[in-house]
Amino acid sequence: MTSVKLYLLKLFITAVGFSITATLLYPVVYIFLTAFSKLPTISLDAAYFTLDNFVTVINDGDFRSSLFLSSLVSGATVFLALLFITPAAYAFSRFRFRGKSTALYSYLIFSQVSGGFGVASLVALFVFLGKLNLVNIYVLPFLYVSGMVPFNTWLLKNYFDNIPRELDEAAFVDGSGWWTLMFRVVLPSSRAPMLVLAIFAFMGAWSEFILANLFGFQTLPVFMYRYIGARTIYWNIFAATAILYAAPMIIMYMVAQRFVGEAVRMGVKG
Amino acid sequence: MGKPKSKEELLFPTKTALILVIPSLFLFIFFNIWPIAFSAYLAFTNANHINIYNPDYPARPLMFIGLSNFMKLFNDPAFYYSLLKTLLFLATSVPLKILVGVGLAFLLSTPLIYGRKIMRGLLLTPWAIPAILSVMIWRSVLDPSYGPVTQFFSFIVGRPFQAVGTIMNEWDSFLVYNIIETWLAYPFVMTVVGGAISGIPKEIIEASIVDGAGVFTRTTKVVLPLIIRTIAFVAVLTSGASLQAFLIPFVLNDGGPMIRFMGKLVNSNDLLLLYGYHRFMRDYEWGYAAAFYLIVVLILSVYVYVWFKLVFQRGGK
Repeated sequence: MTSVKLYLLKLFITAVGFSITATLLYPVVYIFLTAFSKLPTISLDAAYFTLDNFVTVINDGDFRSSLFLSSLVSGATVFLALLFITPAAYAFSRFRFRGKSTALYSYLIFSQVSGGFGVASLVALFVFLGKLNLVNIYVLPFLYVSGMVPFNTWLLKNYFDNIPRELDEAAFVDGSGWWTLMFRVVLPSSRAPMLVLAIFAFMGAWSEFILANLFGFQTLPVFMYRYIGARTIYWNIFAATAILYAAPMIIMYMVAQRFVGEAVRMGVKG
Repeated sequence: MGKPKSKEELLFPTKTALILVIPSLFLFIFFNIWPIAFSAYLAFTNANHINIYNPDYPARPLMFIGLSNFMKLFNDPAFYYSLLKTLLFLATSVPLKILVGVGLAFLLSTPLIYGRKIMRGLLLTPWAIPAILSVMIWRSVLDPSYGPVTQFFSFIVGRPFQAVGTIMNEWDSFLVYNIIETWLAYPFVMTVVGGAISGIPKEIIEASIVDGAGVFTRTTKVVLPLIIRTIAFVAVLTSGASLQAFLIPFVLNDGGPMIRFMGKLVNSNDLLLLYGYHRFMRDYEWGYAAAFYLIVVLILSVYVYVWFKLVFQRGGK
């Protein structure tokens, strides 16, 4: 093949590739552009460009209280996830104990069907939380963390496995106690895995919809769901809301990009 | 917790380990496993939204009704229709996801392309967006009055395309479920299959070029057989997602239009999980919904058993 022909072929395949990409990304581009439009749809006319949609959303008291609730729930979820899951993952990585592999396999298997089991247990969860008088906003972060335990214990355990345990043993030879070991050796060397866990916990809580909707807590996803359930939908306002909602997620995704593949492989997302 | 007394205790401190593991394990069992066990109790009762809180409710006191819920379920046309639709969804969405994902993986693996990295990054966008937001974004481009995708499809099929809204077409909305499910899942298929393709030794490809194999032969006779196991593996994983689809039908159009099936009005696109949710939230038949979800747990257990076998035949993850 001559180089000119090869060059043309490359150009052609590249053009095909980018057309496919553009087609697949169209819904996202559409939402992005609609957020800046005076019409409830895309408009390429400069006369219809506006930032008012964002102003409208931010001035909406309902949006602000949902944002507050979402932030609160997500923050609490991150805190509880670190508190509950980090020590467990450390123990799974470092210690041998009875029932360890059973627990790990159960977590692995469960994380594969967690979405379906989650919905399948909604009726019973609703009934027994109702009977225990536990349907309140404080329970939501605990519910979220409990759902995160299987996958995130694995994720974090894999990180701990990569931190040399010589560190622990050196500290032991130095004669330090468990607490010193924990706070001086383990925690500082596990900053990276804990950051990953925090990001995953935040993304999980920020985007959880089914439970929040069932129990009637108006977090941001529930707020948006109710908005598009209305009779008249101002799609440009919705688009602005969607961008404000997605912004923290996109930032987190960029930080956590290389871990997301692993999460999806284990069936956490989607 | 004191000091570790010996190296032995540092390595195998059962008590310490349990103290660290049990809180999260308890949380997991309490909120995830216990409700499923509790479902097994509800499934044999006539529980609804009133008698569950007030067992002596005169019109319908809470009581065990044996297998009645299951009998009712197996005689319910809506249940069969939902099962049928879910199987159909599996049969259509899984090949579609594999086709798009593998196609893109091949496209990104050819050296005959510029801007590969940018393209891959852009194509991973559906991963960066939470599934719930993705479905709502699709709802907006499908809007009956403004949605550009609806306008485009209406133009293609030459009649109003009615996937969402007040007037819906059963198969239009089913088609859209497939498109959205594919959109959500292709980055996963693309990434895993792409990884397998780039793992093929260069020598094999070069040898086939020396032997005079063209692009087509090379792809179908050399590369494809080497990655077919990966594709099968991905297909099993992604079937799990199709089987557990809930957000798409729920958020997009709440199970599509009502149709008449065997003399009963049913939601035409109630995929498995949504069918139970409707019995729970619309009919308030909580015992019946619990019985149904018990069946779903059974189905998912069979699926996860197949998945587990497959992972271990591959020698672990």
